[in-house]
Amino acid sequence: MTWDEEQAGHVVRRTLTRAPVPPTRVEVGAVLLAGRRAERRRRRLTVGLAAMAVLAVGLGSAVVVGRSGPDRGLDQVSDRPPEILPTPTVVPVTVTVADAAAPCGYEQYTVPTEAWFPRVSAADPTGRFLAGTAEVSDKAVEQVRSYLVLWDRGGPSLIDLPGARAEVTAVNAAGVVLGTSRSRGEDPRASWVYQDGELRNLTPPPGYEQTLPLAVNGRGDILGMSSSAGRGSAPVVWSAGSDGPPRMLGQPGPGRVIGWTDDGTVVWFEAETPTGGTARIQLLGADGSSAVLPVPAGWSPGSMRFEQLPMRGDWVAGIIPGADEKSPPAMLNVRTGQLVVYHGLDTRNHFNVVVGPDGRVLAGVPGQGWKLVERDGTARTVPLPAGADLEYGPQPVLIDDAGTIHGAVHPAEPGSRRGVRDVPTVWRCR
Amino acid sequence: MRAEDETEYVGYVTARLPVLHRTAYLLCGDAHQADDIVQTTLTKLYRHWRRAAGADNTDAYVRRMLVRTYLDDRRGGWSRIRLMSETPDRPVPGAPDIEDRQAVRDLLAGLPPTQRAVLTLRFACDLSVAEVAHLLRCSTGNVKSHTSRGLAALRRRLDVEARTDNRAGG
Repeated sequence: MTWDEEQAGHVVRRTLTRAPVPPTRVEVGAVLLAGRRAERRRRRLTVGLAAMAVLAVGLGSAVVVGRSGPDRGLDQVSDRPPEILPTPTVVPVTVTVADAAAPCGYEQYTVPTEAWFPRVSAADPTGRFLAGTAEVSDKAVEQVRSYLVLWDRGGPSLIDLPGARAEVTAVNAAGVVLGTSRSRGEDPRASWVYQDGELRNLTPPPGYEQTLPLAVNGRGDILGMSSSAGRGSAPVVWSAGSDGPPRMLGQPGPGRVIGWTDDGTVVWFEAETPTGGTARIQLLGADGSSAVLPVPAGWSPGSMRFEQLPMRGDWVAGIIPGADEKSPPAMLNVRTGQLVVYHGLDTRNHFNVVVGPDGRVLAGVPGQGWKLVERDGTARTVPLPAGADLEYGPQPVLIDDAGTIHGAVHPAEPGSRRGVRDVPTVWRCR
Repeated sequence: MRAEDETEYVGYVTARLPVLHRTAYLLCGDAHQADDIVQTTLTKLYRHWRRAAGADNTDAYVRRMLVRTYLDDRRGGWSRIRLMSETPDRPVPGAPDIEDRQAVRDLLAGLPPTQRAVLTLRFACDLSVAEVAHLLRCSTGNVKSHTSRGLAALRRRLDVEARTDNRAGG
């Protein structure tokens, strides 16, 4: 065996990266107490030294104990503390399931023959575009190819995508589509944007391997998250048309983007921490302001897919997971601070919930299809095409500004792989 | 520390604890010592959180603190030995994957702390020569030199092991 540094480095890298590491015994709570104690010791020492300095020199101790001069106040300007909003009030609503079906008619879009198993995953708020992906095995080159499938007012088109595994995450009213691709299962995902017939990659911030584009506004600005192994995530914004790295909207940490309001406010959710940290929502304003909205205990925001933002208008869809499988849908209005809990429906701890901009809710009840729930708690079953799989369909992705439901239906085909074949469907409701 | 800073600090520590512990373990090769290094680093971080949070790269800032803590710990000598009234708990007997952990210890054991730190940062943390030099506050030439010497030491050790294995295998 011949040795050189590269080879030796390879051996070291392989051994170190594969090495299992025993679990740590360090507890965050203990670290916090130790930090506080150390800080108290330092303060006592500082005060002691200041007193000695006063005695020795006879001059004021202001220089020691506090800042003065022209720099004073800069911290307050550049580091404004967030506004703390009141804890939301819980509004319980008892659901009454009506006998009549929801007043909705449905239409199913055609699927190009090349796209055998499309997955519908995004719609724009005006309802013009519906987007998804399809993977097709190309026997000529023995590879799987990915397509972006974009329905414009129901008419589909296919666009070649790089990589074998692709996901669409969002589309706006101008047909700008966001998504991710990866070549193989273990590769990091590359983020891309499709606009005006061209596909380009989104540049991650320096030092971050993963990016996930989540929403694109009418101007073309893109909101996403960037993360790195073990570092957590941070919200980022790529300005419209920019090829450079995004603007970071804060330090990385545990949390995720759950919404983007029309005025550009990014809604960031941090779950409860094992160390007793309470769940909270941060509202990061486009003007640099921020506010913290405490989250009622037990509520968890979410939608059917991680990439699908659960927020529409002022409403964030979610559920209250229950230990006894009673897990009602619950919608939080970030503007009014109301958490509306729909008792009587059980999502069985699945995030089968989609909220419209007016607060109407689509809630999937396993085995019973989907219910369209009005604000007063009246629930009606959404009509499905004959043969639709009640357990797995429909799969709504968005309620548009006019109240039309966009999504897909899975036919319950004997012998077929469930959850693979989507038929794009829209429900127009009165 | 203000309440919102403390919340931010706890969030950061919660997210980074596993990766900091891993780095510390690879640096020192001992789970208990790694815990001590992480605990000391995070206690220091509490006091300097505003500065760390405001740094261009908070992770790099904290990693530098961790490596300095490790190197200081190795240089500490008698002044850092604590006299305790009771015998401390003994480590728990080996887990099933003890052989893999042993391999890490064996691979880097015996290397001087700085060489070990350089190899860990370069090959476990995937940092460039320039980044390691910045982290350890030394020249890039110094990092290259430590890398070269560290790898040469490993090469000699692995060559010896290979010869021993060949003889054993006949």
